[in-house]
Amino acid sequence: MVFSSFVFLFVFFPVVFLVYYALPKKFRNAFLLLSDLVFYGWGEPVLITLMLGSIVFNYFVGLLLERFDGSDKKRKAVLIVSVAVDLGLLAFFKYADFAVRNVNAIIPAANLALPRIPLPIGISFYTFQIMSYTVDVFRRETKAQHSIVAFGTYVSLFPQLIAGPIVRYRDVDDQLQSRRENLPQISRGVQLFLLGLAKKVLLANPMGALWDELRAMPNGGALAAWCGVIAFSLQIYFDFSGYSDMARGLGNLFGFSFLKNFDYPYVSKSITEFWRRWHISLGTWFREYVYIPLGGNRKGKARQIVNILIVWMLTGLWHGASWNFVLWGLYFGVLLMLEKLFLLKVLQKLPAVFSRVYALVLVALGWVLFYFADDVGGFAALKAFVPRLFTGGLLSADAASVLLSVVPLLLIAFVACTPLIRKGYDRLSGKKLFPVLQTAAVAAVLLLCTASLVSDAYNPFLYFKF
Amino acid sequence: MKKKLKFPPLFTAVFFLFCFGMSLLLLVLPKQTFSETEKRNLAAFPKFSFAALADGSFTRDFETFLSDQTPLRRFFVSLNAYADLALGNNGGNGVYRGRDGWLLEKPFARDNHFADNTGRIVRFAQKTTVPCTVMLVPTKSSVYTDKLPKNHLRYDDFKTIEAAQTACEKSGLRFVNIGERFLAEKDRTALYYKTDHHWTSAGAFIAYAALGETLGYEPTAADAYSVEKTPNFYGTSYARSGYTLTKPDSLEVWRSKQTGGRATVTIVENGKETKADNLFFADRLNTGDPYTVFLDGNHALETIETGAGGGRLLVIKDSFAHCLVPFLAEHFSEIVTVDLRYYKKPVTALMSETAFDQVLFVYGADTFAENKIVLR
Repeated sequence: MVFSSFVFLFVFFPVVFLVYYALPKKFRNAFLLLSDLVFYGWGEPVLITLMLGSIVFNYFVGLLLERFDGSDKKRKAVLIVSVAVDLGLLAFFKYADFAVRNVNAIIPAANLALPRIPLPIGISFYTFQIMSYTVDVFRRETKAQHSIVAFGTYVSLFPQLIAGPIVRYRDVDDQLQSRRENLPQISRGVQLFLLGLAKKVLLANPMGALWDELRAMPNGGALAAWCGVIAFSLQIYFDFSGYSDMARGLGNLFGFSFLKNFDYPYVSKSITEFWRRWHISLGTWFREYVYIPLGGNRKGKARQIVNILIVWMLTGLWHGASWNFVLWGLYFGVLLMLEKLFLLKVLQKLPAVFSRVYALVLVALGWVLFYFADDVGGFAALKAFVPRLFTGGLLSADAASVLLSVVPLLLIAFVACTPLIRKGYDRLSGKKLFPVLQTAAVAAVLLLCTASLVSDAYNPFLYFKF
Repeated sequence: MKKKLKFPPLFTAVFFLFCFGMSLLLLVLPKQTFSETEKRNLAAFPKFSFAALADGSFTRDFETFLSDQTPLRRFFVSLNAYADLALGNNGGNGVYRGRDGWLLEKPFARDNHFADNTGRIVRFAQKTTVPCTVMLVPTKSSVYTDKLPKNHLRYDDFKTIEAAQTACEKSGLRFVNIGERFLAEKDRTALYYKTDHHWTSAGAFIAYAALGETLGYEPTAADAYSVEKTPNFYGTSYARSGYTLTKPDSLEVWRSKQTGGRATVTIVENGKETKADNLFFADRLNTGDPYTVFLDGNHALETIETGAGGGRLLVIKDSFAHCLVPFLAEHFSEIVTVDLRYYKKPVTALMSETAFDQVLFVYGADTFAENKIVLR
C-alpha cells in the first residue's frame, strides 16, 4: 500500500486512526502490529511470512544475547549467526538474480537458469532496522525487547516499513513501551504528512512525467536532455523526501517521532555536505554498522580510503541489484575521498555560487548513473543518453513547447528545494491570520492531491523497489 | 515549554473531516457502473478469493474499484485540469484548451504506425483486382491550427498524409487527399466538433463530394439533406480533457430528404446478428453516447443494403466512416463496413464471398497512426 493512494487515504488510515485512539493504551501496540501486517500484506500477501519469520527469529536473537550475558564467545556466535541469516535472506531475495546473471556473463558455459525471485517490499529497509537492534543489543547499547508485540511493531511499523527512514531501535525503544500521544504532536503529524503528500503528488509525479517525456525525445536537443536530468533529480528528491515526511508525519499521528531523513540536500556546497543532508538515516546506519566497525579513520589514511570505498560500494548496491548502482556508489566514494584529501579546502575558498553549482552538477550526473539500472536498459541506455547531453542541437521545437508549459512548476520546485518556504512559514506563524492561511493551505493540498490522484494513474513510488 | 493546545488547530479538523468524509461518502454513495464522460464501464467490487488475495489481484482490483468509485470524480479531474492550466500547463490530459471553445488533441506520436499501415494497405491492394481507394482524415488540431493555444506541439498530419499518398499512388492505389479542401472550407463551416475528435457531417460531406470522381458517382447537392441538430453534445475531446466548463456542441445528422436514411442495416457482433431499418439510430441521441446515432457506433462488421442502384462497396475504416457512409449509401446497392480493431477474420475471405466493385479505406489520421492495422 502506498500513502498516496485512495485505499490508504480514505480507507486504511481513517479506520486505523479511529480504532487506535478508541482502544485503551495497552492494546494499542498490538493493534498497530495488526494494522502493519494488513498494510504490508496488502501488497505482499505471500512474502509477509518472510517478514514474520524475521521478526520471530530476531526476537529470539535478542533474548539469547541477553541470556548469554556472561559469555562473550556465545554472544558473538549468536550475533554472527543472526547477521548471517538476516543478510543471507536479503542477499537471496534481492541479489540472487543479479548474481546468476553475472556468473553467466563471466562463464557463459555455466548458463544457469535465473531463479526469478520476487523482491519482498521493504526488505532492504526492515533488514537494516532489525540489524540496528541485534547489533545494539550485542554492543549493550540497548536492552533486549521482551515483548514480541513491541518488537514486531518496531520492525513492521507501517509509516516507515516500505521506504524508510531507517529508524534505529534505540531511537524508538522508549516510544515503543510508553508514548504519549497528544494534540500538538498530532497536528504536527498532519502538517508533515500533508507536506510529504504534496511533495510526492504535486511535484515528484509531474517531474517524473516530464523526465519521461523529455527522455522520449531523442532529438530534443542538449538543453532538453539537461532539463530531463534536472527533472529526474527533482523527482527523486521530492519522491523520496516526500515519502520520508509522510512517514514522519504518520509516526507523529500515532505518538512516535522519527529523526529527520532529508535536510534540503540540494543547497549543499559539497558532496560531503550533500550526504549529510540526503537520506540521513541510511548514512548514519552505514557509518555506525559498517564504517566504524571497519576501523573508520582510526587505522591510517590507506585503510580509511579502503573503508570509504567499501562503504560506498555497499551503499550503491543497497539501492539495487544492478551494476549501475555500484558504480553510482563508488562515484560518490571517490568524490568524497577527493574532497577529504584536498577539494573541500578549495571549495571553502570559492564563492558559494561555485561550490553550490559544483555539488548540484555532480549530484545530477550521479542521478543519470542512478537512473539507468538494468531494468530500464542498463549501460546500453546510459551510453545512448549521455551523448545527448552534449550533442544534437540545443532545443527542438517540441521540447521547447514541453518545457515552456512546465516553467512555473519548475520554479516552484526549485524554491521548494530550499529552506525559503519553511522560513516564510515560520515568519508568518506569529501573525493573526496564520491559522486561516494554514487551514487554506491544508484544504488546497488535500483537494489538489486528491484531484491529481484521481486524474492520474501515474503513481508509482520510486523507492518501492528497494 | 510549548504552549499546550486546548483545541486542535482548525487545519487538523479540516484534514480529518476530509479523510473521514471521503471514506464515508465512499461507503454510502451508490456505486456507479458506467461512466458517461469516459464512455466505459467502471470497476465493481472485486470478488474475494484466497487465490486472488495471494496473487495480489484482489488488492489491485480493490484499488481500481476505489479509484473508479471515488466520490466527486468528475469534479476532481476537472479541478486538476484547471489547476494545471492555471500553472501554464495547457493540455495536461492530452487535449489542449484552444480558442473559442475548441478542445484540440495533442499531436499523435512521431514514432507511429503510419508508414507501416500504409505499406499494409498497399500490399493488400496489390493482391486484389478490386480497385482500392484510400482516404486519411487529418486531425482537427492540424486543420484548426489557429484555434490552438500559443504554446503547442508541432502537427505533422499534412506531411504524413502526403507521404502516405505518395506511397499509395506509386503503387497504383487511388488516394483522395482532402487536406487542401478542408483548409479552404474550415472558416466557412465547422468541419469538426469542438468537443469531439470526429469530423462533423458537414466535414464528411466535403469528403463525400471529393470522393465522387474517384468512386464514380455524381455527388448529391447539400440542399438535398435536412440537417437535424441535437444540442448538448459532449464528445471525446471533452471527456479526455477534463475542461468541464467547455460549452457543448450540437450533434448534426444530415438526412437525405429523398431516402430519409432508410436501409437494411445488419450488424454482426460476436456471431450475433441484429437488423435495423435506418442508417441513423435516432434513439441513441438521448443516451450518454449520442455519436452512436451513426450506424450504431463501432462494430466489427456491418452490412447495409440500400435498395438503390449502383455497385458494392467495402469500407475498411475506423469511426470516421460512420457519418460518411450514409452519404455513400445513396450510390451503392450494398456497403459492407469492417473495423479491423474488432474484425479478426481475413478480409480476403469476405471479398471472395461477395463480389465488391470498390474498396475504400477511411481512417482518421490519429487512429491510423496509433493502431497497427492487421489486414489479411
